[in-house]
Amino acid sequence: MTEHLPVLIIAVPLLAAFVLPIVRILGVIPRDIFVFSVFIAVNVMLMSLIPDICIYNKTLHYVLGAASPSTLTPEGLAFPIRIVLKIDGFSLLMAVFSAIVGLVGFLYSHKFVPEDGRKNYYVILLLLMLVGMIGLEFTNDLFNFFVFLEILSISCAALVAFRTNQKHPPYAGYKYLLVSSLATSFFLLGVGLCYAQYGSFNMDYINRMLNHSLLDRVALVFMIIPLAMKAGAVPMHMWVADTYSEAPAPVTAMLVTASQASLYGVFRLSFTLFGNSTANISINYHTLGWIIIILGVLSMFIGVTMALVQHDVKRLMAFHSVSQTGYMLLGVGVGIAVYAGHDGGAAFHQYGKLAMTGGIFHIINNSMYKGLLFLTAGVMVRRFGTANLDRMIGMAHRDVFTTIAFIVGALAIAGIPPFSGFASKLIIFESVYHFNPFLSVIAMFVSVLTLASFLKVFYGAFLGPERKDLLVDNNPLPHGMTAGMGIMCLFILIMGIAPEAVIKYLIDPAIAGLVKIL
Amino acid sequence: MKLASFLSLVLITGFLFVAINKLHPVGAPLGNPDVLKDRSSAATDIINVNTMDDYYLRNSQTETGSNNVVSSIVFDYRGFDTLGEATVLFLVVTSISMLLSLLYKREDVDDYEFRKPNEFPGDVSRIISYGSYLLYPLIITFGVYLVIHGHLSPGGGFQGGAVMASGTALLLVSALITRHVHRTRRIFSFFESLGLTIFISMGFAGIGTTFLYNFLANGSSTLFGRAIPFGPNPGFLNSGGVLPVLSFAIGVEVFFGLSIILVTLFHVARHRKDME
Repeated sequence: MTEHLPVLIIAVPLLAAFVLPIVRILGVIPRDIFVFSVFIAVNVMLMSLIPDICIYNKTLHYVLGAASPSTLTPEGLAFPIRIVLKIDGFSLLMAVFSAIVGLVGFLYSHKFVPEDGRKNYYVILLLLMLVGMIGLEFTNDLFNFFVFLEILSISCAALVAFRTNQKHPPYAGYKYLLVSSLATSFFLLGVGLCYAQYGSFNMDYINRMLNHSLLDRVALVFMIIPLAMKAGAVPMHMWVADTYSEAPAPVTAMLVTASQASLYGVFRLSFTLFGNSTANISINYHTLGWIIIILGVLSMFIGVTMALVQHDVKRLMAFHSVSQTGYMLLGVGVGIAVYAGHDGGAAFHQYGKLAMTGGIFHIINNSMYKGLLFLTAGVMVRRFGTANLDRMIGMAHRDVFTTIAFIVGALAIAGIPPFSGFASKLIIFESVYHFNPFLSVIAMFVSVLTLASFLKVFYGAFLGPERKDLLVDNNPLPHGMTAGMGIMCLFILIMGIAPEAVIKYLIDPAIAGLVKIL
Repeated sequence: MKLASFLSLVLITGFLFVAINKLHPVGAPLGNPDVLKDRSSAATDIINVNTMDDYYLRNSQTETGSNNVVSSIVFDYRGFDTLGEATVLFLVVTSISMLLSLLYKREDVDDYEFRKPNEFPGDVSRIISYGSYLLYPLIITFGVYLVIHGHLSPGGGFQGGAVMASGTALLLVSALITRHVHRTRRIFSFFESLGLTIFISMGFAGIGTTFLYNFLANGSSTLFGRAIPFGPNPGFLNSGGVLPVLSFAIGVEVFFGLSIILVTLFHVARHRKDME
């Protein structure tokens, strides 16, 4: 059974989503138990792959519909003719954290989303969102990647628009749908250009055959830019604030991970599809790295300056997401820029690999603390009936647990030890300094501004006298919401206290999956 | 802003023109042309196959037992993509049901009356109403034909299902069935799930070998297992392995899924009209 795990991880939640309209007939509680066990099962299956892939450094292949799961090509052929799933350290790392955030999102939604006849659809969409994320992280086939990107986009758009009885969410959902369909159509154009040249969709095969012609570069642009747009990098960030702030809180937490799945696409395509460590084409590669670095620095700076002036707590956090995406792009961009340099990889070993470690570590950190912050924002909005910071005060009196969760999340995002953001940011500062000191200074400055704006939120919403008259909902928090925030806090603390272990067992295998010249 | 969008349009168009210029001609083989000319030679000789499409043309008949190469690619070689695309349709149906369900009240749509053709407020003429009654069985029959023969002739689950759903659209606009429409919604939803569940169950059934393995092809000759030799043949319904089953499942899913979309949109439109 173990050799079938790659496909089971995708197919089990898919099957669950398909049978959910039938399971719903049994009642609400059996439905919830069923879905909860599916989320747990996906998490357990993913965790069970960690020893094989991350400790023994194996790469799992799964060929769908072939006579055996590991026969990549039929006998005598040089290219795969079927869809191949490939799991290496990076795919697994991203999938594990997608699944954890998915579980948290479902737990948090338990009482948060009322049982009004639409909850069933909501749960189906949550499951399919998870399928979309894990699917595109596992696949090694460009068209399959596109299909999962589509599943992810449509489910996100529908969930963003979930509160159709309010004024703004349908517009936000529509905006996201437009952006996503634009991105996926251009991505499909890029895939088409690759297929027309090489007659295959398999990333590894195309990478072997790649001749770096002009056509390849056009395809690269058509594939990387849409994915960067879906990840919310400046200057394609116009959808982020609307979408993140209008979606229900658990959906926003998952949207952060969904954007990072697109970011995964950027890195996967730059390395696995277009990456080549031979020195004669390194000019091309250096430019790609600098493009990603510039996108990153712009995102970092513009995101945080936009966030400083916000009075809506969810919009503020949304702009911080743009800013945090910048750190990841910066870290991995430095890695790409020095990958395959003329120095035979010396710069890469000196600091490029470290920068990538920081960038990838920051991805998983961000999915945790950003998710946690959005979940606490959900509590704030639930209590005060508005997201306006000027109308919130004294929440620390009422919600002690939420306050602690917010402090953990805010200190982690600002990079204060012993929380997880500190480790990844320190690695990024140090390694980027070797590459270009100026970039490192910008990154540090942005970090300070991040702390400032979260101090503003903390001071405004949590401190101050208790004002019962401002509360619209004074009931105790449902256990599901508390549990969701608790899980996130736990992961932030673990990753903050033992960053060496996380880097050794999760991040290093991820880099080994991306980079070939170790 | 307008200038920026115009410039980006020019830029993208320029990129695409560059790309077109460099592409190799449509239909020209990527591999060694001498090998590809000789299509009639033995299908087992796969060593000389140079591209993926040529492999499909030579081997799909013997491997999947289906005469229709397109179907064998859609449901066998790239069956996982088809599962994904079916999921996209399911997703759209779910999203539309979720987002539009607040736009009409269930009580309002439950007591629609059965109307005679000339009483319908939209003033649908008799010719259209009775004409669609006559056309409906024909459309459904044609759709079923497309679905069942998916592995032999052009067509298949997606196309057949869409054809059948156009029958639903016809009945809705000709306003002959309004009363029971809301009750059908739940049944439609059940069958849509059933179609998808059949599809993914066929995938799980093959998991003794691999997920979505065509375990019925070239097996027992009773259940779609008839072996098909390379080359022209009259076409046998009892061939293709899991392909006919998957095609049927997709047909069911597309028919009921699109019908749900149509019924939901119909409710919203009716509700708007009643409000006026």
